Amino acid sequence: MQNEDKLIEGCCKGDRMMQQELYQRFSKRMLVICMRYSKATEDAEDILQEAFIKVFQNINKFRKDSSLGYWIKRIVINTALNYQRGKLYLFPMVDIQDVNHNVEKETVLDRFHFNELLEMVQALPVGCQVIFNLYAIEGYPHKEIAKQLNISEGTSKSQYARAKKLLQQMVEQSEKVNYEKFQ
Amino acid sequence: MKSSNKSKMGDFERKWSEAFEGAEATPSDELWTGIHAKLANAEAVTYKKRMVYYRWAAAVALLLLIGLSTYTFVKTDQNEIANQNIVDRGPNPESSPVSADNTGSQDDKLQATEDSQMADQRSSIDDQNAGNIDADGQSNADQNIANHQPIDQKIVMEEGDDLSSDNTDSTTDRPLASSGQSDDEISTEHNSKTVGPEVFEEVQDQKALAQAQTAQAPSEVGEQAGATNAGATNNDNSAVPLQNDQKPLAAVKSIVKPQEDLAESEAKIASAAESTWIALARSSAEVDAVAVKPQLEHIYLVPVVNVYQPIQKQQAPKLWAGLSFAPGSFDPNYRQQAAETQLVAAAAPNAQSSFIVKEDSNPGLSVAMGMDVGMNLGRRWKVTSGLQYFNSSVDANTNAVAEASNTPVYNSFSSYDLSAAGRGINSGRYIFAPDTDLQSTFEFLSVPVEAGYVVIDRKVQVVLNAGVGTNIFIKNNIQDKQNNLADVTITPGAGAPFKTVYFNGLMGAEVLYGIGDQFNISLKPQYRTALNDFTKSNSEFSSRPSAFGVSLGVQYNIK
Repeated sequence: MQNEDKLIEGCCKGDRMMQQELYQRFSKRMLVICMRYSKATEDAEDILQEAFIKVFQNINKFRKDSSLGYWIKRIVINTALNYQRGKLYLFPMVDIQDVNHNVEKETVLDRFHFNELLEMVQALPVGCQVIFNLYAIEGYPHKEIAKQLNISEGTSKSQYARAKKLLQQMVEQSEKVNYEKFQ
Repeated sequence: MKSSNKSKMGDFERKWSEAFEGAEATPSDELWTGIHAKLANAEAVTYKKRMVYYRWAAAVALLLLIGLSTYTFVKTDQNEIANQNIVDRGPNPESSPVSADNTGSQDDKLQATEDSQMADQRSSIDDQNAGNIDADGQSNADQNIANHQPIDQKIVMEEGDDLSSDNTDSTTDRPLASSGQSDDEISTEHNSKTVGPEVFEEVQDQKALAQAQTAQAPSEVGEQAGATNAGATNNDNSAVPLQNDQKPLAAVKSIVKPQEDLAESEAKIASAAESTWIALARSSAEVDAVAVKPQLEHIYLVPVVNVYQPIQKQQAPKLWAGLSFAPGSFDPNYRQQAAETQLVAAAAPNAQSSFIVKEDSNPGLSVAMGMDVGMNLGRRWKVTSGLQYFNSSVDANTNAVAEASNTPVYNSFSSYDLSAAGRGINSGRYIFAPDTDLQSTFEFLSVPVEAGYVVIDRKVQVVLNAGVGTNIFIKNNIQDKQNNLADVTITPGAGAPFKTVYFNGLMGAEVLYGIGDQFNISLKPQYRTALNDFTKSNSEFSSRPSAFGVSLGVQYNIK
């Protein structure tokens, strides 16, 4: 197991073994990220492949101002966004006042495997899916999301609200189904 | 999750974020295959673009190599031409052509004078020297010498012998002074002097040499002012003084003679006008330097120094150390100072009166080995040093060899040891011999200092290097390939014609291939040329060696 410095050095020189080791170290986590931004595993793998090629081609530019994993994650997310950019069908801008501000029910996700949660996220509309991932999972503010996707901040908020509502419904539906099965 | 937004996150967002934290999914095996294929394609495209550059670089390197080889070959030919002289083998010295390659009209005049003198001497001493036997039994040879060229028979001396104590008449004693000097000058210069390496130095005195050159033959081995007919002896073995109408024989520059006081000898020469003698001194153990200071060229080799380069790393400066081995070629690039070297030969019965030394040399093989250390300065630069041992040999051919004083001429080629410390050449005498193949081997230590620039920094590194190397002369060994002659060893010293230290300019390239993280294999072609003369300023020949070699080394990265 090589340390990160040696991995970076080897990848900069084009050492295929070092590149493969770096891929094996980060590919599993990055695939989950890709799957959150895509509809199918095949699409996720395409995104992952393209992302790692970018990683190896640009690793000599890595300045160690952040961790290597975070740097790779940003490349993966950007690649996923570019991949989805043509497929982003955003809902028309919705005035935030029209969003149903239901009292948030307490969300319990402990009983769900992440694969189930992943399916719920993949079931979201494309726009909602992207904004949900960027806001709720990655932690980007709406302002930055809007700038990155070239949309308004209001659209970002409304899309996220929609995604949140849909996910709550899916969770409740799943809990109900499980309860019925249990019964 | 970005920290800037973390505080605004609700319970919903936090739980979803935590649900995916650390989640992993295994990609299919074909994914890496696809990545590998795309990377290979991208590298192939890049390599194709670089191929143009590589081809041009290879063409330039090939042209450079051809140019250097041609230059080295041409220089070698020029050295051979400069060193080769016409050997006069005619029985009649008057009719013997003497070619002065590089001498001026003054030498031609002197040569003509010598011829007439030699003819006179020959006729006058033939009868006188018949039947003379010297104390050490060299009479026959000496007589033969006397018959043809009377100088040598009187010069045989032991180390430390007073000039007057040899088996000749005192009148034959010859101080190591330039011929052509007046007796007073000779006495003044050599009175009470002891002979030894300082005499060798003395011989090399510019004034004496200049006088010798103006008054004597163009090429010489040694010279001595004398008042007697060179080599001629009376029936009682006393030297035959020059008659008033006699002229001295062709002068030759003197070889270093043994230590002794010359005052007495000079006194005996006082009546002489001019004469020249070959000063073939003694037999002794080892001498330091080649006493054949006169234009007799020696084959002195400068070993090839090859230096090996370290690994280049991208990170902060790192150290490395390595071992290397380098075969190559070496060319001493000899150049004779004077036109020719003429020796009065102690020849066989049918030998000629004189002959001109002919020597030539060819570039030979050099082998170097040593250790290197280096440091990377940033990503592109590196410096290297180390310590190298060099062993270089050159094939040579000569027709002049020296014989120990106590060995009859032509009985055998006995040991002629030139390595006696501090005493220079003072043994034996030079004789004309059939072409003798010699091998001259030089040994050096070298300390190179080089700077390198990394042109390509990938799995294979390509580095361009340039620098300066300090060569420390260890010794030079001259061997007869036919084993007829004993070896001659020259070591650094006051009597050596070589400098103890000289400098080389280094230039070359290096290819490094990494094996793991710790080791690199290095392949390094390098050319080096002397920045200053390898020979001393007072030597009568010059040498500016050059060499080319390819080294193979292993380097260890010290982190």
